[in-house]
Amino acid sequence: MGKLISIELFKIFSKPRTYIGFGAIIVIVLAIEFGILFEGDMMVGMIMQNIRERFIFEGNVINQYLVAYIILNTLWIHVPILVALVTGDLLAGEANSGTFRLILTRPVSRVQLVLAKFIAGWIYSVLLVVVMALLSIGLGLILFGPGDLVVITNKVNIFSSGDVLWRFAGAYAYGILSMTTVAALSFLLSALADNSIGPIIGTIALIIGITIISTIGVSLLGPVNRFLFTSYLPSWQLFFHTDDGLAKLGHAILIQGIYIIGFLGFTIWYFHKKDILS
Amino acid sequence: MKALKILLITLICSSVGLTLQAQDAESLLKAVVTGMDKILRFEADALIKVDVDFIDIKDRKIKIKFESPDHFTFDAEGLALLPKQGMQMDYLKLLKAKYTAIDVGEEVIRTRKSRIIKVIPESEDSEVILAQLWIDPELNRIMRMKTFTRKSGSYLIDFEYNTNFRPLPDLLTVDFEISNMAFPAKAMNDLMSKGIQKPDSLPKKARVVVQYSNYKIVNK
Amino acid sequence: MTPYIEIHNLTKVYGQIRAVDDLSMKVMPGDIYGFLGPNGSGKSTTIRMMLSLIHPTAGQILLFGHDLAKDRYKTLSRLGALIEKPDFYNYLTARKNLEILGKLSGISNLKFRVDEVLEQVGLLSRATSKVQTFSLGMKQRLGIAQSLLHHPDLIILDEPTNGLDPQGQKEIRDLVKSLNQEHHITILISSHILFEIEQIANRMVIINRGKALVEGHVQELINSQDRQVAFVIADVPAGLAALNETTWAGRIIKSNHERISFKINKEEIPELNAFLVEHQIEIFAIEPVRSLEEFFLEITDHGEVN
Repeated sequence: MGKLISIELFKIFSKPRTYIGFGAIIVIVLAIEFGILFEGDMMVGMIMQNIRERFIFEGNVINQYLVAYIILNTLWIHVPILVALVTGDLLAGEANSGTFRLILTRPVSRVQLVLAKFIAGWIYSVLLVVVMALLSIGLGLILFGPGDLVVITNKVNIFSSGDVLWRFAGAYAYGILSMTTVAALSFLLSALADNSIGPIIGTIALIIGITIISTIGVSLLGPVNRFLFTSYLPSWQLFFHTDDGLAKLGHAILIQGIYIIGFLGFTIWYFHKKDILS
Repeated sequence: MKALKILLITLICSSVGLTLQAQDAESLLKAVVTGMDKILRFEADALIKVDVDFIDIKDRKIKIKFESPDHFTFDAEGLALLPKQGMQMDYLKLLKAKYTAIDVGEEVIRTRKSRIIKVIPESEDSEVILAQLWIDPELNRIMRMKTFTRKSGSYLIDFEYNTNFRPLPDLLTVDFEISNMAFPAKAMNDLMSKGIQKPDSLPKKARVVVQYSNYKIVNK
Repeated sequence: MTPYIEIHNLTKVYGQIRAVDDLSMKVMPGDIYGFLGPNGSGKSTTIRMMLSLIHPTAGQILLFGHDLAKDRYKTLSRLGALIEKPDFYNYLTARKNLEILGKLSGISNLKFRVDEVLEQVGLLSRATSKVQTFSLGMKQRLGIAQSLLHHPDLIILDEPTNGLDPQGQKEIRDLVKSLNQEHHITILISSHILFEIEQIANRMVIINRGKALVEGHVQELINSQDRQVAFVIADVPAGLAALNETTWAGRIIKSNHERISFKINKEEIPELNAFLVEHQIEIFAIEPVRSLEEFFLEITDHGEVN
């Protein structure tokens, strides 16, 4: 299994598209950090106008953590595209290039191959999140310095800098879980398709589509929303809620876990019985 | 005629009384200012507790430095929210400008008999439109203050002292009202966070308690 | 001796289409086994089933005496394959491609073995070039190299000369022959070109519409058929006129402006020759036209799948 995973990782990291993902993360992080460097005061001023009328803010509001938090908000819209870019290609790419004929005629179990590919894709997804985390917090420290984190949910939460790191660690870990769900979805679509464009676009269309439908049709879908995986992609925010955040997190993790197992289970079953015709 | 005479005397007496009262009020306020003005600079530690329904912040320790006449620096561990009124001796600025003062009575504040004085600033630029001060006439210290400001609503500030010699409070309690934020649409985040209820915009009670310690005062 | 490939009643159905229909065949150790059929006759589907790429609807495949469905690992580790066009990871070098595939086959001393097979197919000098820079012929040779990596006892080659120029086709044929003769590797080679099979195979099966039409030794299959002979003559109308109303007329299969083809056996050739000479028909040549190709075209509806 380790051998299969290392081969799949080697293949992933030999493809230019893999570096598009890391390039995009770097561009997004740089754009946001420099954007905040030049426009951050105005932005914070606007958002916290009411508080600033009543309070004097003493300390550094725009700091590495605030910037990292803002960047985290892009996680669920940009990073899924980058995850799908690679994970959507894992099976469909081999089908498209005809290389399944090479590897599946070797003494290799299809189930192991699917698992190895998924794990390799997952490692790539984890690296995307890790690069984003290190770059946003690291560059943030250089550009903005440390400080306490102000997070506006339905209230204003001000977290002491000592109370922030574990929340970020949790949020990034949850982000990895969300990206695992995205990876599992695009991997499933990848098993169904014979070229990688379909799974990549399909994944994004499904995520955005379900989100829009579930948002617009809250009353229509009602309780179904509680069981849609898209409802839980941004639940990393719960790490920055002070009241019932952590309680809700259990449900979010459970739902995502069920989807991951479901998507991956279907992919393994489908690929196991699939005829390789390409 | 007799009735007219009585009325006239009463009017004169009362106006003389008012003037006398105003003089008392002003001198009392001046005494407060004089007491404060003795301070050349001071340093203190403070623990700030913010109690606002929609603001979640742990108690913050800050260091306060004051240089006469009105220069304050705050050194916070992380981010601190300080009340706009009360912590920067804003009352000194008010009481050093031109104002009209009226003594409107007496009230016992924490066992201390205090004079209630209304202060109306004469300057049109003044942030404070009207202030009411409860002053301990024996120790010439402000016990309580209520201010109505132009931009940031009204404040009720309680000054508590542990000693009889220091004009600076050991505990400051600032009460005011604040509306929840007009949250900007946080794009898809909020769309996704269905569990989060939108905040109402009615003003909420806010309280900030400042606990001072380790005063180091240098007098002039 | 246990056959290397033994297929019993293999069937694959896609909806209404029976791609492979009750096919049975046997490949013995040492064979170069020709798997002949027109395009779309079910060759590739059969081969993919032999390699467990496609799941059969019915039937059994035994490789080296083991049931493929039950013993996939054991059988595939003794088997090499090149299926249809040679596809590789184009973004990787030839060597890296082979290293990946060698790892999957669990080859020890991989670097040495990769160089060895690259040398064998004449690609060692291009080992570090990316596959995307390779010509089709080079890819085909690389395809054979990858099938050889793990010292297989049996190689399955699906249309290995497809798209190659005559020189390339000959190279591949020579390579297949040498693998069989010098390295004692049993080979199953599919093709829709009979000439190719004729050139290299010792045994063959011809299939069409998923069914095996005939199986046996190549030479026996050729010899079992009646001989066709073409007489190349100066004046075809005169020849036809002379033959008219003789018993030879019934033996004519076809004629064109320069030749008349007859269905006759070997012994009758001098007799017919004498008859034509007698009637002063100038004969330029007598050519045997009955090859397996004719037979193949005939039984496969002239190469068309109907």
